[in-house]
Amino acid sequence: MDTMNTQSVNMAFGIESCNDQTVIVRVGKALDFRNAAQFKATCHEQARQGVQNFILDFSETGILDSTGLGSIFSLYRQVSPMNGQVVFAAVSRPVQVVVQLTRTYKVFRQFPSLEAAREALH
Amino acid sequence: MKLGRYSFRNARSLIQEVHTLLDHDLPALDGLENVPTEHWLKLKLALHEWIANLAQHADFRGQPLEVSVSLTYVDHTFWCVVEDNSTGFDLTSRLLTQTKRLQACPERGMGLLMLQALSGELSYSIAEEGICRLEFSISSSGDAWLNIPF
Repeated sequence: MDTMNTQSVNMAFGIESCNDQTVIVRVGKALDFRNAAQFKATCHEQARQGVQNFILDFSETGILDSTGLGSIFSLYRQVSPMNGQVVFAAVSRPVQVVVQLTRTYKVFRQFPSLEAAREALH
Repeated sequence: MKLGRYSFRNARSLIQEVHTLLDHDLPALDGLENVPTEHWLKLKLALHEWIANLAQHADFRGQPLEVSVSLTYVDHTFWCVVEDNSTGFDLTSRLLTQTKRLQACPERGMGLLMLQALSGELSYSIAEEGICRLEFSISSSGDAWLNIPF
């Protein structure tokens, strides 16, 4: 049978460095069960290289599901012992629905724009 | 207002086809112009979580996948029925187990709980003919909340 687990979202997560400790992650159109493992691997590699702060750019994101959110929690657990932060920027309406449903604004600070997030973490 | 019954048989494109249905096809139907965007997004998230659960965990006994989605909109509420030909599972006990096991900032186990939190009515049955049937409603009102420990 053609398994659905082979479905993938055709994209790599763009990483933009702000400074030695902070990067912007361009989440793109989806962060869900199809690409959460890729997101996790990408971000954990950044953390392994010393990045502590992650600005997640959700400006183009049409779906964030439970698996995608779980991968963000995984990143949070990795960087928080180092006083690192994971913040949300330019949150799209579909992502905002998940944020409100799960009350994750209590854990992840939100900024209206990338510029505001970058300034706050500078 | 019946919004139709949609069948899906391509496992590889299933989730994208469902997204297209909810993002483009259904909102374009006459009579749904005033449905708030947030209402569509809650329906999309709930349906996505169920389809994702099928994609990752369902056992189709080696048979070609058959999934149908039927939607109705009545009194500011979406009613959604999803039927599939998997072996099914005990949703009630799975929800109880996942509620008990929910850790702080969990990496797994939130999907069905998110569906439950979004839904007003939620029922699941496995018919003798080998068809599993999930039915749930998504209201435009109310403040859905999944209590995740942080």
